[in-house]
Amino acid sequence: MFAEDDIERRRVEREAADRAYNEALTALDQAFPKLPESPHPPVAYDESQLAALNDRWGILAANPANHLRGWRRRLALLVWGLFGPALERQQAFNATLVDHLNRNVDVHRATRAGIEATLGAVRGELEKLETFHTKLILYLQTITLFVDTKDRSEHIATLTNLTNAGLSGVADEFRRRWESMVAREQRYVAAVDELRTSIASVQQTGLMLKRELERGLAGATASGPAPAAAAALPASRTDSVNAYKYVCFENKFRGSEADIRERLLKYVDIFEGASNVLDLGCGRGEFLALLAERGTSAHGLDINHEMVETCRARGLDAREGDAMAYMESIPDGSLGGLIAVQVVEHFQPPYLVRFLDTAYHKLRPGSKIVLETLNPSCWFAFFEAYIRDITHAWPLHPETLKFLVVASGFQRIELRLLSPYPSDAKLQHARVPADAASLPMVNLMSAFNENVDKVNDVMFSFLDYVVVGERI
Amino acid sequence: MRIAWFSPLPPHRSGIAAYSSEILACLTSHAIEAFVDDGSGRAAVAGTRPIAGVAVRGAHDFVWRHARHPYDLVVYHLGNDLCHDYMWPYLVRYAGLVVLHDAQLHQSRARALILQHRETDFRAEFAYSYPEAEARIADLTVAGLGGTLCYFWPMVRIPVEAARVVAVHNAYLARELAGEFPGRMIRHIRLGVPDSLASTAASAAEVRRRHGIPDEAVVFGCFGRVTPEKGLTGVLRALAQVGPSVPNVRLLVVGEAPSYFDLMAQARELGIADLVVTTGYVDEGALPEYLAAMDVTLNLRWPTGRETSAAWMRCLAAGKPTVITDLAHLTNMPSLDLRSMTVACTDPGATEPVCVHVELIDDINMLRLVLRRLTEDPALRDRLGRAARRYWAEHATMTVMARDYEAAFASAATVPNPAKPEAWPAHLTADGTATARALTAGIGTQYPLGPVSGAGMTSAERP
Repeated sequence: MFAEDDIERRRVEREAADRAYNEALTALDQAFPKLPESPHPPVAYDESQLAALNDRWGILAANPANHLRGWRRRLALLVWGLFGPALERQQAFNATLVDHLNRNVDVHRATRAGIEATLGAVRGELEKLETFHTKLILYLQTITLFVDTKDRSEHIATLTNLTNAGLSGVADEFRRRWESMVAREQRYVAAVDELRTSIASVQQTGLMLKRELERGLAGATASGPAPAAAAALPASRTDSVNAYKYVCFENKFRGSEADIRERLLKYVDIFEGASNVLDLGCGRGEFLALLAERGTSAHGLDINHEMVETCRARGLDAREGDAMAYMESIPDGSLGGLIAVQVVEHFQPPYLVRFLDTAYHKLRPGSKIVLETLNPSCWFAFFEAYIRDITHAWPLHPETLKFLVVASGFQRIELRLLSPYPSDAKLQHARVPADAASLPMVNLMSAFNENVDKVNDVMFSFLDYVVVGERI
Repeated sequence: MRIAWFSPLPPHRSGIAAYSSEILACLTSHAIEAFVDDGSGRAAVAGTRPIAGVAVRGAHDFVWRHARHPYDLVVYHLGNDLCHDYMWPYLVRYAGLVVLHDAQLHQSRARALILQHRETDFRAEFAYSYPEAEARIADLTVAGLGGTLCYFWPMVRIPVEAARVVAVHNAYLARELAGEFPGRMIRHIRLGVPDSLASTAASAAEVRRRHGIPDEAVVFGCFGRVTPEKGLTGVLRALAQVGPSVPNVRLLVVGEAPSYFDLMAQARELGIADLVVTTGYVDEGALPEYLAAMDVTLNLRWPTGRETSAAWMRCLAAGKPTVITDLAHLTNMPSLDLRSMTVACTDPGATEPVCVHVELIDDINMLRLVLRRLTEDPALRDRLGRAARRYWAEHATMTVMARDYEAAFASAATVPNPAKPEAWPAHLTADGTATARALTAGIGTQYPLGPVSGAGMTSAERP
């Protein structure tokens, strides 16, 4: 819009200036009149009679009496006496007149020559002026072309700027779209990874069902004995340790109630807006209390009678029982969320798989499952925490649990590593003293420090992790 | 470890100057000397705000100090701004840890070289960086016509190749650079900021009173230099569209504006000037109370140099709901898509949004949703704010960043210097004798010494 307005404004201005210029040029052209015919010099001085006058001005010869004698002489003297003076005056007049005429011939000639020269000069100057005027008009006509071409180059500069702005705009638009597409692609790629896992799980399940079906058909055909019942559930933790002892164990090793509350706080938001959340292995009810404070309805389940009693004493809804037995007793889609903190490591693998499958059906679509456990891929966690508790049944690598959760049908799986081992307690890098620095020493230290990093990565990484999934 | 630290420092107003002063205060186990730009005189060194335990020196002092007592590591903080130009002659000669704050250096490098009338050097660097590209593209930049096109050619190859280790502040960029420059060591240092949750409600109320913002108003705010890159033109357009339906909304813009960008004129044109408050430049010390006065912060940015915004991290630390531009390098951050109310993240399991994102190709529509939804839904604001604070505590504290720096130091200190590529433009590898040769040739003498490797630099490269 800006560009169009600008171009129109420039066009109007340009036309007005063009008009004014042409009018001024025409006025200038007309201002110089055509050269008039120049006046002629006066005709040349008439000298045609001058020679005759010079020949004839003397009307008297010598005294006529000088050549006579006698009476003739006397008569001549008488007559000369009578007419001679008049004739002499006439001759003197003639002489003066001819002399005058002779003297003015040059003046007349010079005057004419002067007039002629003046007229020539004036004409010459006028012709020069006319030439100047013509050249001025030509110049102004030429400068029009010059201004036009200069204007054209400015126009080109304007067009260049407009083109550049346009190109920049197109590039920006392209990059915006590109950036948005890349951002989306990043997320799609991650989602595809999860889908791949789900599909693999579905395929695996299909194969297993096919195998079971074939086995069943084969059994029916052979009329053999019915397949063995599912393997018995593993011993639960009550089978191994008396309830009250476990309460003491928890008090000693699990941490104070305040510590646990602090640790569990991060899960509260996950159940924002949910209802009927099950806290499996609710222990002393720290998380149930946190949910209650938020107004989220929840109940706990623990196999340990003493723990359940502790919860009830605090006014929390806690039930005593085995996880699978309880889960199978409630209707499908009845739970609004499920959390099991430091519980699944107490399950034998077949029990865990059944538990996850059942949990998927008991949860409502859109609800979350949260499974926190020790991280056995951190050697410190395994040796110092996992094997410390004799009720732990099976160490679960983070990727293993994540896979099992996905394989049970949950999606939007998040694996979050928790409880980083304190940096200052890790193995530390060795430093080369500046005065001992040499290339072999630096290389040695480099290799040493890399190994320190590697050992730290496997031994002292994260003590716990959590897998969060969603029932879609 | 004895470390030379090249970075602008306060009172310089760049974000990297503030960043440097904050992280330096956390790396006290090292003997760090900071080298600032002293090209305009020693006053720049004297005027630098002191940092406990850190000696501040002029960059010119680096060479002789290093020659006398070599540093274990040289750290360069490089960004797309002229204030980083002074460190180029050093980083191409003294390999170290290059912290790349922007993966886009085209504009600043071009500007710096063109200001020194070194267009030829710029063309050479461009041609080296992009041998497959049309060489005349550099001419566009030289002619001042680069514009947005510059973003297609970020020109980071030379500093990456010059470094022992390159560090960046987001994982996406680290992966991208590692892919683009195989064999180079690229590290991700998580960006940390101090806790900015210090201001009281009283100071927030005072800020609102000062600017005539009603107590009940929902304030969307943003910080920093007010430039088109902050996306505020789009915010104004969206605000003009939703303003009548959410009369409580206010936009508070904190920061100085350049003369070419008049935000209030745009607001007046759209008829929403009464909903917009601009403060102009605000002293660094007053920023926390302005942050406290905001209900939602807008941390939009386009175009991007793949930078991670410290300003944004400060807002997260303050427990504010934040709105960001949906950029590829931020997709690991769980963010809320208000159109579908779903969480978008490269981790499909992320369930708790830390911020709200606005797609570049649907920005006005999404900004309308942002303004309406976040104004009307205090519970959502509260939830986002708590998630933001948790994210900061887990991933973006100064402790986290210092820990990553320590690991990067350890790695960079033991990595050997990379070999300079033979094809590097000549001005980057000049041995420094060119001036002496020119001078001696002028008086009919031949410069008597052969090249001294790495002993100096050309007149053009002399800082």
